[in-house]
Amino acid sequence: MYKEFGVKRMGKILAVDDSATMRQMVATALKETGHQVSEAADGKDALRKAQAERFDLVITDVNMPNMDGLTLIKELRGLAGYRFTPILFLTTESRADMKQQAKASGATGWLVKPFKPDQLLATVGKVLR
Amino acid sequence: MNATRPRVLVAVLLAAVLAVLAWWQAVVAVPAVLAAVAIGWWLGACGQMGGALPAVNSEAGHGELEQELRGFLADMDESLNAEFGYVRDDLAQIRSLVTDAVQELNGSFVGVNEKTREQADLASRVMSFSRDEGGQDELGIKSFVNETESILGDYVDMVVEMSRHSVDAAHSMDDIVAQMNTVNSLLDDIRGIAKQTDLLALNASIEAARAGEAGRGFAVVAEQVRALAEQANSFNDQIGQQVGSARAVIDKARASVSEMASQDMTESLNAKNRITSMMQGLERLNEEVESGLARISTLTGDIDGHVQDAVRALQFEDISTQLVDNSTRGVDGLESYLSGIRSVVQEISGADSRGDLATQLSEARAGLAGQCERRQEERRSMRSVSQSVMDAGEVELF
Amino acid sequence: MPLTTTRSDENGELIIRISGQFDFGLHRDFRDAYREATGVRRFVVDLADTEYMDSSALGMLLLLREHAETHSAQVELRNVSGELERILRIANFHQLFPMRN
Repeated sequence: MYKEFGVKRMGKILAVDDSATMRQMVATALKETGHQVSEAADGKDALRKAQAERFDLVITDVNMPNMDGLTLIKELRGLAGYRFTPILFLTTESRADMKQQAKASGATGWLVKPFKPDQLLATVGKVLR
Repeated sequence: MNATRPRVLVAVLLAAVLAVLAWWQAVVAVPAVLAAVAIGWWLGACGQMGGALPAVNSEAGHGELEQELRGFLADMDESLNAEFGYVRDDLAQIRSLVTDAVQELNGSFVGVNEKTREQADLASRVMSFSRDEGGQDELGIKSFVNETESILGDYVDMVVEMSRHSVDAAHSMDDIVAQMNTVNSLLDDIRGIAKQTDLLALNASIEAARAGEAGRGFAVVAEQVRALAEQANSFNDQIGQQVGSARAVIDKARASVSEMASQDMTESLNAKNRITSMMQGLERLNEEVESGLARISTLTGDIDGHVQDAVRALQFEDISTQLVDNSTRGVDGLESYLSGIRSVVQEISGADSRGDLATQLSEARAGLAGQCERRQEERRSMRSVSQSVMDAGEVELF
Repeated sequence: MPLTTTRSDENGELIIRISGQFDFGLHRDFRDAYREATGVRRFVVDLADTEYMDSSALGMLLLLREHAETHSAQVELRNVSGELERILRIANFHQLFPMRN
């Protein structure tokens, strides 16, 4: 279904969202083009998985129970091997201060939901290149 | 006891109720009624203070009204609490319904997507089959037709070649017959010579007989010459017969050769026509299949677009779930605010004997204001969801 | 006459015109029409009045072609149409003989 976007590099991607549907949508879109996708339900879960396995890209929601996305990025940046890993936010959150906070914490990009699969793939392709 | 005190108390109660109801916008009619009652009450109080209106209120009357309003407040507190409960339950139900439904829908779209791709794969396989790209002899209608056509071509070549040889053979037979005709005329010549020899021998015999005894030896020679001439004639006849029967054989052979040479080409032509029309039919079928397959691949693209749109639109689940969560928290906040008001009212109503009412009121107000501030703080920390349509959101790379 | 021969000396053509059936029955006349001719540069078989042709006609044409080749002459088929043209085409004669109307 989803066309190729010249994404030659396939990566291991961690999709973090408290909504199972959102996780599934992100995973489906990315797996379609050959990426490997793991899912995490909140920041804590994501952190645990990121420690167990190296990911090439993390796509995370902002507002989540247990640990939100902004805390997650701070924690991740402190982990060995995640200092420069691209981290994309995919969120309903449109508040400018939140976005600024994410940017200051070293986020790679800010995508406002709803996303279009093609658009997400294009962004992932750019970030992974 | 100051007569205005219960009245002020009641007014405060009313104001509290109004505040709650104004906040709880769902019940619009109640604050309107209450506002009317409050205004009526207030006007009554002013009238009494001015002494222009006859006193309709007694101390007992105030007590009764206060009681009523307290009861009313209690009822309202109760029904609002119940209402909050319902709203919370409803919101929880909406949340789980929406989540379930969207998850299922998303699953369906993923399924549609997979099937569509499978269909497109199938279509392209059929396409390569019909183009004979899928290896030799896999479907091979076209190669079958081509094969048949080349067999027909070989057959026609063979027929033509056979005819050429047959006509050539016939020509050779014509030549042989012509030579036999020459032989026949030579035989005729020989026959003429034999006849003349016979005549000559006859004459010689006659002459020998006339010569008598002296010609006896010559008569024997003449007789032998006649016998030789007759023999030659008989050989001649035999040769003639042989030539005749050879001609008959050749005529027979020519008839066979004629059979062989004369193949009706109409059948081949018909076969060729059938193959040609088969080819054309196949060509048309191919075109139809190709255009059908092209259409399928366009449709696949279209479906792809629709599925993408659906996936985008289905994300309303995540967004509306957050909004529902916000509403739930709003209800929680409302409930705690209401309980704050409840405790203010209790304090005021219990303050009959002790302290200054004004101080108590201002303390209560400060308490409420604090609560209000906490509530606003909480609201600020809540998720902000600005989407009101499901257009794709912005993408910003830092 | 099912077969008539016309000699055109100024361009060295011998025109053999066949009416009706072009079949085995004509094989002798057909050969006779070209065998003895001398100084021919082009043998023309005119099929304008030919109604039918079987494979022996094709054989005769091939023999004519062989004869012409040994005499450094050409063979041309003239006024070919309809069924005859289709038969000649199936036999690939359009690749062996120039055809002219």
